[in-house]
Amino acid sequence: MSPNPVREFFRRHSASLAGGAPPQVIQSTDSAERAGIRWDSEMDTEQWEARICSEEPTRSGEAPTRFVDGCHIGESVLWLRNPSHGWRVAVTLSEIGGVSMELDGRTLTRRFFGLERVVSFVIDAFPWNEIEAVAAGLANIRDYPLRLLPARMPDKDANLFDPEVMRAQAEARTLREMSVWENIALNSDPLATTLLDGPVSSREISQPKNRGLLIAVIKTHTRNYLHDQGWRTLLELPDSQRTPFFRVDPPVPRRGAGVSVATWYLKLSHSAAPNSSIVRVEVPWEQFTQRWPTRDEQIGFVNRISRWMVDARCRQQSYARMPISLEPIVRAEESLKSLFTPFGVLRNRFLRHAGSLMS
Amino acid sequence: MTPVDVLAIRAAVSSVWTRLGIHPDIDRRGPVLLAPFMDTYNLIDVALPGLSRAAVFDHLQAKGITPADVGDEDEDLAGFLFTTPGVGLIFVNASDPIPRQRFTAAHELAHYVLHRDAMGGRVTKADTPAQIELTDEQSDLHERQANRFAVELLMPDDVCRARAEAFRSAYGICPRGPLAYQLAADLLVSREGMRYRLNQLEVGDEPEPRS
Repeated sequence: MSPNPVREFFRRHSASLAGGAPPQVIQSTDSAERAGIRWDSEMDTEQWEARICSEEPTRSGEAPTRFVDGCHIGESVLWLRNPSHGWRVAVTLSEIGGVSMELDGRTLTRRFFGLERVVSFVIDAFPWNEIEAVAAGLANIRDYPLRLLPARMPDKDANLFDPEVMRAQAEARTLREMSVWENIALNSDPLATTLLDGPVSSREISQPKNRGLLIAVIKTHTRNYLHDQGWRTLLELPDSQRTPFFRVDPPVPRRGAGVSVATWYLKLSHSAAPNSSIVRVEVPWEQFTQRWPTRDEQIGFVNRISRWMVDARCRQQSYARMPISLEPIVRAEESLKSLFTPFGVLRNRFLRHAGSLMS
Repeated sequence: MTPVDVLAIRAAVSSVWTRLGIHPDIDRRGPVLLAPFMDTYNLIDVALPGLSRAAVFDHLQAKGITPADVGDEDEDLAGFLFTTPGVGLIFVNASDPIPRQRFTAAHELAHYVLHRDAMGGRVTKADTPAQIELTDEQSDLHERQANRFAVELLMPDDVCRARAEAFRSAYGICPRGPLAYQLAADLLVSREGMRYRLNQLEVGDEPEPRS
């Protein structure tokens, strides 16, 4: 075996330096997903209208005392060439992690964090014996080990010659691993009422009834969950108001595929654009119906927690995602990112090891 | 169903480590390298997309080897072991994900180590995807032995326990689901296989059922 299997692998497969990342691919919602949506949980579909969130404060156990976020900094750093077909395969280098902050009086304290440095690419485009050697080589780099995250081959109908297709696979794999860190952070104190940055519906949440209340806030809307009247309601939402809540079931009912949720859209603050300052909120359906069994109780909770979110919205003008962010989550993100290695340093270390500063 | 003699399988795995001249190092990160084991037995790995008996037949013929009757030519295969006194080849399906290819190669290596004497001097052993499935339903003893060998080789008991302990020491918790996810990537095995192994070893915390 070569003394440096990492360098040998990258050299053999014509590694070349990568530039900035192309834009994100937005996914559409297929019919199977839409079949799992029940819009009439709060009111009939035709009657949907903006709902005013009352000024009533949250009740005991409703307001989050713990805030969980995941972070990811990374980009494509190399391109490889598949030996048999000539596909270009992006290698992404990232630092990922998860953090849990706890509200202690008026102070947010970091209670848990985990982070690691990872490399991801579509490994199936290369021989298995070379991949195991490069994975072992990366994992045992002294001082800054890197874990190889195997990205899956794209779907059969994808154009494998499109470098963006390969890059998106690596990025998706890295983000999935970040969500594993979020899950670990979630598990670090399962009894606290927790606000999670990102969807809960796609996670494996074991026995939600045994956990503290879990509330998720989604800032990026990549799925179409609404009907036409729902869209009209959403786009005309005044600030601090919400859509009716509705139920979304995971598309495939199998273990680990996710949980059913009660969900609604909330406009955090005034904005000129109809589709900005909007977040979507999720609560596991099992918790939602167990703690607030009647529709009136459910409406009351949704209003109270929505008001809490409006009050907790980020007001830092300098923060790029201010209109859709909550202050405790921003603080959690800042807390974790302060622990990250500057990406330029990480990139140069990796490239030095991979032997790709030569060109 | 005859149970697999786990101690005998572990002894066989230990013997292949000894033959390689090293032993599993729990401090070393990353996957167990399978290729050096195959080298010590002079086994050549061949990855063919859409592996079938016909593809194996064609490959062997192209190499000047006259294969015996290979049976149902169109049957989809995960792996194939071909040995004669002069040559040993392990075929895997290049269309499978790499963790699966590695598991298949380890499974075929197991047949070579454990069963070649029982098969005679010239071995042609085809394995369908179902035969290399890690389930408790596998009825054929040789297949269960080969699967257990692959599990013990690629996901060593000591390594799994050491990683779980390190995780708990670092983070105070060790939930089995996320541990399986992380360890699968680290050891370059499938998530399902890793989960199966952690369940088998009872490593990592599972949530208590509600009383």
